[in-house]
Amino acid sequence: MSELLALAGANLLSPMVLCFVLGAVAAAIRSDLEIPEAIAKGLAIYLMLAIGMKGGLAMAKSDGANVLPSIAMALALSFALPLLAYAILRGIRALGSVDAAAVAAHYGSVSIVTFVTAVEFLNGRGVAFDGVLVAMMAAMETPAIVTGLLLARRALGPGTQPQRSRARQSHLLREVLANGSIVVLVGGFAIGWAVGPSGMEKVKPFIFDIYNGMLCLFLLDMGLVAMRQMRSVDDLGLRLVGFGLVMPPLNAAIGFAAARALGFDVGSTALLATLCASASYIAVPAAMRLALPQARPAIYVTLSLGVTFPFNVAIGIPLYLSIAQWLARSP
Amino acid sequence: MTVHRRKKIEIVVEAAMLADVVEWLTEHGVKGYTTVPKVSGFGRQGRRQAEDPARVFENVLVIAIAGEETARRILAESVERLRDYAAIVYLSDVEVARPDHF
Repeated sequence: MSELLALAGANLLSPMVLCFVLGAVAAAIRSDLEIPEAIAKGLAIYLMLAIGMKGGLAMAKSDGANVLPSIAMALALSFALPLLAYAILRGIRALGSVDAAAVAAHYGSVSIVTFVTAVEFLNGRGVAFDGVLVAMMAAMETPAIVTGLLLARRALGPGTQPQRSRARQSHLLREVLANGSIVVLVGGFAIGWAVGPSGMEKVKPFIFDIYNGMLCLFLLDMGLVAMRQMRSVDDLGLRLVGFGLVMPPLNAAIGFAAARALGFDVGSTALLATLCASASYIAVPAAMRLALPQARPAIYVTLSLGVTFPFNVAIGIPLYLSIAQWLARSP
Repeated sequence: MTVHRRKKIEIVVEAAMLADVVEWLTEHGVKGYTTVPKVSGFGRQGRRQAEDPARVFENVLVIAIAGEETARRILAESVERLRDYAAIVYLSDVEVARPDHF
């Protein structure tokens, strides 16, 4: 326990996480601090490209034997995780079935920023991990949306769906399959894998050396965004906030089991648990607005961005690493 | 100068629905439209201002001008079409100088 607290303390004391705290404090005292939208978008593209390239580079150095089983596992996890979240939400009578289906989809999908923060946490402790985790993250983003929509359709019954125009359907498909962050992430992954260590040497100052500084700026913005969202947390009620705090460790437990089945090392195990524990707040909300307008965005965005995301950054990530280390020591 | 009476259709709608709304207006033979991105405000859906990364709380304004019959059909259809979305649809009288444009 004291070891865990020390780890959590160490995570909070990295400049990246402190920048997140700074952003949160600035929003809490209603400072006029604002990262211009275009810069925030640019930072996000940079991060996706860098994390994709780093993952691809790690793949180029490995034999790649575990790629297919790992991606199959990632897809299966993303399809299945919403079922547990949905069952819990309905079981504790926290939400109606449509809202519960929408929230469940968020918890089956992943938060890229949570993953990136976890990667830096591992790097800071010298814990190695497999590059395939980046591909697993990309694979986990969308299947949960399908499960969430199927759950909602079952709840709504036939004939209650609003008329869908061609524009709405093609927009939804684009949003789900070709959303910008996934394109840059998967593209960066392919580039890093294709060019290998000698090619990546050419972009080393940009992709590696300044990466943590860029992450500081990005997390500063995320702190602002998360804290502004946290202002609406009061409206959620105790049961939902409790769900937002309990669901991440529960999903992480499934991640630990999956990592064991895949024979992962400590770092990869912690990252897979983090992926399972994290909740989407970009790709899934956008898809839900188009495909499931009856579900209330104030609930799912506030839960994933205002409750689960800060929980994972501050407490979850060190918790998952120490559990992964403990699992590695016990047979 | 002769002026011609038309209806102005204004639709404040969540940004995710912009493509859908524009397609719908075009289906009714509306010949053109103007959009104002990133409008914010407050209403039945609470505060509408894009502060989250997914921008699900962002609104846009769509302005179009059409004949009275078309405009009324659009207004009537909007009830079902935009039922579950953040949306405001209203008509007003305007005068235009070039009737063949609208």
